[in-house]
Amino acid sequence: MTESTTIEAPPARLGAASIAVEDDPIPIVRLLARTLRDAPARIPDATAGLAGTVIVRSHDTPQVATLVFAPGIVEVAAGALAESDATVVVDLNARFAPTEEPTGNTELSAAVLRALCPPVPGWREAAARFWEVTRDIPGIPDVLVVDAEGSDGTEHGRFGDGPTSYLVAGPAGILAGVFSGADDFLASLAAGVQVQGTLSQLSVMTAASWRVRFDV
Amino acid sequence: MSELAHARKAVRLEATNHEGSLLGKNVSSTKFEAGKEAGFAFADILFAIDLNNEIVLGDAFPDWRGNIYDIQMVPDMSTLVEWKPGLDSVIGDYWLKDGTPVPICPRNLVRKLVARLADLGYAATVAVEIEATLFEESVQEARARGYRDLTPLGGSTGATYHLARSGDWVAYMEAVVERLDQVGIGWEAWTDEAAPGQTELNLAPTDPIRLGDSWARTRQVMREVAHELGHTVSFMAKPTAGFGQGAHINVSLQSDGVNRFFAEDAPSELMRHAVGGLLATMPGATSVVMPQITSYRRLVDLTGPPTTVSWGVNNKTAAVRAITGHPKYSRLEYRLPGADVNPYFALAVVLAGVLAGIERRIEPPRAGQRHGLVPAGQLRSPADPRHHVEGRGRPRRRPAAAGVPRRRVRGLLGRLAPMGVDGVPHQGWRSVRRALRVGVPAILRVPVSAREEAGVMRPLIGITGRRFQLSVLNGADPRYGDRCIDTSMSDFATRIAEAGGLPVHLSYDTDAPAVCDWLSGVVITGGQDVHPGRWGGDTSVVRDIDPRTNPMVHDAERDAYEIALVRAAIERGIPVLGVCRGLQVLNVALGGTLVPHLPDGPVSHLSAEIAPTDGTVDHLVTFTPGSIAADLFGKDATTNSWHHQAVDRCGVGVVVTGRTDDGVVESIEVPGRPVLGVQWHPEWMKSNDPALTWVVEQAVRRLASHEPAGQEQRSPQ
Repeated sequence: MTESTTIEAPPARLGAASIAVEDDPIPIVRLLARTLRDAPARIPDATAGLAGTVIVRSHDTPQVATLVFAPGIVEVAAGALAESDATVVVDLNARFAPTEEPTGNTELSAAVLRALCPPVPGWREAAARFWEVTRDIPGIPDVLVVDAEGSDGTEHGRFGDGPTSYLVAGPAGILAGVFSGADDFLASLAAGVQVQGTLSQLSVMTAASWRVRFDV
Repeated sequence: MSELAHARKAVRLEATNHEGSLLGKNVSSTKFEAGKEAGFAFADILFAIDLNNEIVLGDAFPDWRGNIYDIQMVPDMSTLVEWKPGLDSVIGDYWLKDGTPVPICPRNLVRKLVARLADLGYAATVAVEIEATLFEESVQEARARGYRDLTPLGGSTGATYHLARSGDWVAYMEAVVERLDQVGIGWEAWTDEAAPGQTELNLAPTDPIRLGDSWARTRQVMREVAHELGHTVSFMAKPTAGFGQGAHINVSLQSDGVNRFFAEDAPSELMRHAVGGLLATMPGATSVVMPQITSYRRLVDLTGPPTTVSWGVNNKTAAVRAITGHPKYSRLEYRLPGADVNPYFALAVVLAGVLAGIERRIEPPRAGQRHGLVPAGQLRSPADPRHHVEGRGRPRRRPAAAGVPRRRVRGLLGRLAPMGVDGVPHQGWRSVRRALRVGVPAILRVPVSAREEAGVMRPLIGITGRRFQLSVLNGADPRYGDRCIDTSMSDFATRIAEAGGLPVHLSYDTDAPAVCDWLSGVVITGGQDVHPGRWGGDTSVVRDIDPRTNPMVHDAERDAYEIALVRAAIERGIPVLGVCRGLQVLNVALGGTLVPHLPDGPVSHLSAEIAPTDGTVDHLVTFTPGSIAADLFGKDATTNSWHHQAVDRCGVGVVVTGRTDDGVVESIEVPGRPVLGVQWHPEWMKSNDPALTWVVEQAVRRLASHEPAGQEQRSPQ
């Protein structure tokens, strides 16, 4: 069956706006959609009440997408609509940090930028979810070992069990960003994250990072 | 030639990776002599870089790759030529240290297929038409302009077959063929082509390895001549707004010196089977022969490239053209590849298709006699409007097929593996079917025009649904509120249409046996619980609510019409797909029972997710090897899920072919019958779920095997 006759169906996740994307979305669309989809968990009213069209441009690549906010739904599509209420230019590898002053409706653009930059979860929570949602990726190491450097020293985490392992070490804040999809894995290697494993595992971990960052 | 008689200072080692340009290095004469037997070390990473020289990450490495292992490039001394004074050139193959070929070494792949053909007693003769566009600017100028706004050499208008090209254009081509003569590459003709600056150069027929070598070297020659003359040449499939650029491959098979594609008045049986194989493998082959995003921009109706999987005798609008009736020149022209293809991979694809057709005796559909470019219905065109939207970002990781969802891309690329190991897809009909299923909706639209050309109609697929009063809908006009409407979820119809079927809604009033005279497939859709009285369950749970006023409650009338439909369809051999409730209806119709309510457990079956969704990772369905489901989905698949009941005891002839880890039945089949039930919702999977394509494909097969009886009753499309 689809609907239940004899029981009460569990509540659907209708609290947040539904995020609609076109078929075969390009990376910026995937990134925006995934970020907005995850945002309510960190900011409960992330997109509540928003209405209008916002263009999001990458500051250093040709990538551009359009967000259309309507009651209960946000549509994310590639390209720039001719008419919009606001435009933001952001650094896609810096959690959508604006690189220029937004144009158009400043209230709307500010709200969108807030929604696109929710607080990241703690590194341990993020790592646990990362490990869980990437289990089915071929070649993924059995164990994710994390050394997170924080203000109180290095914390250790070990997720999973098995003969193959992969170590990721670095500043706790960046690790949290990588594991939650907020930060790009390969870019994080230039920001202090270090890894230990084979090149093949690096390739697979890249795929895993895309899973959480782009929802692929 | 095995060795050259002149003095050399250096030797250029050449081979292609998966792209198509010659890669290699220059070694001293001494180094060459020392290493020509054992080979020369190259890093395996050369098979993992893109055209921008970026390392491509994101997949588990195959066994032969590691932490940048060495692989050996062993020169094929028969290819040694004097490239220019002081520099020789030799082409090689990539081998692993254990002496086996690097699995994706393009040239070795062609070798393997040539050997497979030889085992059958055939030798292939192949030729290619190389298309390229020339620009006035030097490559330095082009680079400085970002490769934009370049000036076509020879004027800004196209002029097919026009001999009055300007001198600079002619001088370039004359320099090219002079160099080809010097290095021993056989060419037959060159001419201008349809787009500004465009040329076509035809290489002479020869064996596949030699043609691949000549093709790759000709590109090198054309680049070098362009450099020398201060021009630029492009082998992109769509470098300008003008006509795109292909690489048509002609192929024939010989044995005992006789062209076996020849027959007096029609294609020989061997040619027919070759066509069948080429068409069957064509959708899956697109990711190989059209490797770049721009490859797909070439596919524009009425401009020459094939946009349908079709064939015809002396019909250049089809994807495969058969040239027949001549004892020497009878051949097939495979028109799909873009100019940007890797020459060896292109040849391998053609040989693999031919082999598949011969080994499996695949009969093609009837040859098209009409225009093969403009199909009726919706065309999956690369001229996707999104490609013209301002600033559409280029994916960092080049997809194998632009516009193809990742899951489908994986499927397409996955076909390289068996092809690389054994030469051709080798899983019998399954791989061919999978190739069709995977590629059809994504790249080339197979069924519509091909079958239209063949006189076979699109299959009528019946879809069930439910009936309720209009007053159930918000905003309905109260004057008609107690009148009923028949409904079905439109996602079924949409996906069936995308797969090439003709979706039709089946009302409660439809007489099941009578409508089965018209239908080629049936989909029993999701909905409320089946009345427990139908399967011996506890009827006390049934509430006294009119299903016309509440579409969530038991509906005995719906049960009756769907069960009758299932039985009538199965009796006639009509393919049946049951979805969610539909799976349960299937089981109940055949005498099975249901679990009245699944307890909470480790797997979430009544999900809180919003449709469409691919489900959550806990809902992993594992399939029985050899089943239809395993053929469609592989060993396992993550799916969505919205149900609280499940199959308990199987009905007569029903077997379980898929379960989640908690043992809940997720797919059922009736062995020997085209019947499949899935407990999830393929119509609401975000990814392309093959279940609905399966029912269309089965319906097509049934339609083809049951013509012409009743054909006059069916609506041609």
